[in-house]
Amino acid sequence: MSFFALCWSLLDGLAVTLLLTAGGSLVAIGLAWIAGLGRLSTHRVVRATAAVYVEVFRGTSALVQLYWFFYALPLLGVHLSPLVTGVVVLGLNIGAYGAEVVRGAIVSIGSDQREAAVALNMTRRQQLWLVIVPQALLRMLPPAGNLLIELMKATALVSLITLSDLTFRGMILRAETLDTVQVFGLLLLIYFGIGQALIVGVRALERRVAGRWHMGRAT
Amino acid sequence: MKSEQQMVSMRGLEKSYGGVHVLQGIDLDVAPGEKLSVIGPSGSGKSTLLRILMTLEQPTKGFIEIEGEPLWDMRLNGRAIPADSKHLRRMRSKVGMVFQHFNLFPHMTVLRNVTSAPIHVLRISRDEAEARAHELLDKVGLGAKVDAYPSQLSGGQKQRVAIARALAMYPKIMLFDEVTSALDPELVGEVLGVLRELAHRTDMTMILVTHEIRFAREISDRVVFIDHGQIVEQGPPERIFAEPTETRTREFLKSILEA
Repeated sequence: MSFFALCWSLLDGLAVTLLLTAGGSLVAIGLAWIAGLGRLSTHRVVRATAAVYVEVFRGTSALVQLYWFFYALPLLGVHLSPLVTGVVVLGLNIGAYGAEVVRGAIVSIGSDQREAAVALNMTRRQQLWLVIVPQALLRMLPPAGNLLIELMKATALVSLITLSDLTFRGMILRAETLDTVQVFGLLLLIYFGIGQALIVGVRALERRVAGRWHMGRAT
Repeated sequence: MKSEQQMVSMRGLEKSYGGVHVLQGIDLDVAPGEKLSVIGPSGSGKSTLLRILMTLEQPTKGFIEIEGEPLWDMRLNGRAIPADSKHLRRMRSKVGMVFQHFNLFPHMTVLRNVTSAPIHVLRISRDEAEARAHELLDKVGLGAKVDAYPSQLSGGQKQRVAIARALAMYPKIMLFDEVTSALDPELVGEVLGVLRELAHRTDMTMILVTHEIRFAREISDRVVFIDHGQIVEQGPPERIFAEPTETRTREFLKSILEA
């Protein structure tokens, strides 16, 4: 089989991987904000709920989470398609790490900024959304970029719950062609390529935000 | 016996962190429109006094009133209970503060630094807020810098923006916390120039914590010398600087003028 023929047969799988990455990221970003801000809430119940979520999904294996949602949840009466299961589990898992990124960036903004906002008589909500969050956003971007790549790589796990993503297609292709070195080599290259594209995207975003404030690259 | 309402009134104000007593019983009244300078060695509690007035810190003990209303307490059925956030925000609307390190918002242009609180807190229209911001920025000599970001300004320019930002909230009392201490010497003059204008042209109550002795002498109605969290001596600047009665005041003035 020629190199291009190999690539062609992987394309369908690539589409599934990209779909999972995009969907998972959206869920993860949403959960990261909710749980990250939740951990800073003044309400104890909200704080505790967010903390439990973060610890459970950070503290257990992503693969076992996937198995649980795919095999155990239907036994409890909840049926999700494999694709939805993949998106939800990846989102929940990376969202837990993302919550720490959100929280960390917010608490890293100096108290001088909060004090200036208090002196201007802003409410707590205004302090957060007008002053703290816009600055924290810049500090979130680099670690968020790392998590995005983690999520993209973790999509390979869904090949174990019957989804024909890039890795799953690769396995089939290898079985058909018996060309192990080339097929797995190609898989590595494709994942690497997606990762590089994500890094370039996040960097560009970072530069745009930082450049606008004339602050140089955030450190 | 007060013939007229004091703007600020403190009684027995104390503040301690752990075992350190930063303020040890401050009694101080500030009249409406008064320009008061607070001087004293570093660590004497001057800044803490301002921070408590701005409600950035809570006193350990004692009592403060602004325009006759308790700052950190509110009255409910004749009893004093700790202030809730609504009360604190109402009291804060009377007070503005300029910080030693400017504390500008780095992600906002100069114009937005000055307009964001008026728009969101005072809820005045954007057009009105911007018109007023332009006016204030012209007054502090930065009319041409409205679209710059703080990182593009010198220290003296940043501090003048911070002054305009605080003024845009129409405070009755302005607190200046060593506003020239973080500036390069050649930039101090431009900030003092703005303060001088404010002192002479407005009837705002001003409390300045400062090390600029000559400046304090020039613009203040009264000077208070604080050491170890206590008021050692106070009076009109001519007297405090020319003939201080307390040894500690004399020694402090000597040390600062020799430096």
